[in-house]
Amino acid sequence: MAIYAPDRRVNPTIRRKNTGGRKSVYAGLFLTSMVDMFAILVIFLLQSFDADGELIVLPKGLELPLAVNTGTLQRAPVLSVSREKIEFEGIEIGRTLEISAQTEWPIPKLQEALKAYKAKLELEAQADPLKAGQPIDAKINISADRRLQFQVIKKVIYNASYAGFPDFRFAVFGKSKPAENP
Amino acid sequence: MGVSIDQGGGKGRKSVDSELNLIPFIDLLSVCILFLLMTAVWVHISKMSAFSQPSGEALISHSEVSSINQAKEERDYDFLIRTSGVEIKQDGRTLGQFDLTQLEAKMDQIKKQGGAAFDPKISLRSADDVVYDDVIYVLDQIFTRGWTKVTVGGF
Repeated sequence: MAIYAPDRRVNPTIRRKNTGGRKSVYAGLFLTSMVDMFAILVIFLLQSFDADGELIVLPKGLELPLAVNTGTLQRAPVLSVSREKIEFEGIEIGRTLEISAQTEWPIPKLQEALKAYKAKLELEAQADPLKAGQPIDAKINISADRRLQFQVIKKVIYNASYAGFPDFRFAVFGKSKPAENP
Repeated sequence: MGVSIDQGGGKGRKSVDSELNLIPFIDLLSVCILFLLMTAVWVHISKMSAFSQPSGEALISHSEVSSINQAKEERDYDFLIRTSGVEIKQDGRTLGQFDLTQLEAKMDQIKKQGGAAFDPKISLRSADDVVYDDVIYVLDQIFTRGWTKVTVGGF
């Protein structure tokens, strides 16, 4: 294919000044390029589409740890532990520093919130004939800041176990596996 | 109609080309882009599963949850994480203390000894002053070896 020097016009639909006619106020679109761009956008967005939506809304300043071997997060009540505060389903339980400094294990407000949530789950299970007689799915997602000391997480875990949530998932950011040396 | 197909009917050969009506096509693409942009999840969060361990007897002995085993759990290995390193115990016998770089080699050795189907019960416990990121790192290393029976607690 022959190579031509580029024309001075950047867009053939925009008239040049010296063409004699009145300057048009309309600029034409390159439809082929636009449709190509739209198609690429749609493909990219479809690939990154997640039907589950956003399962955890991270509080400001919370940094999750990175891990390689991870699974898909499921919908469950979220217990978030940031450097500032501890929250359960968006309700503030206490300040992280205060809970970290306390010598006692129990966090009464957290236990109350978890027990209330469990009671709600049990009521829902009783009302549902399909779930009647089956154990309730008592799982929680724990999203904790990676820079925290384990002392705080441990207290949170123990209180969750005490309130009937011994099965939990740590929320992490997935990272790719390191390349193996040949 | 979105696509106009030449019906032919003339004297010439029937055309195989069809003409796409671009306006509804662009409308559809725009709606798709808007929908996908609005529902896009930009931060993908994953999970690491674990169970809590009733090692804090003072707390767990008063637990109202019957599903928690209050007796000392049976486990094959104890991973005790401290700021100085990770101590591995097998049936209560210390195998050594390893820093995070040595840990991987030791775990590979345990896996090699156990075989491919080896899935031991592991109790992962951490000291108070250990950073949560390090606990997740050790947990990740355990899952990397295909070991899934992990309980998490403190000491």
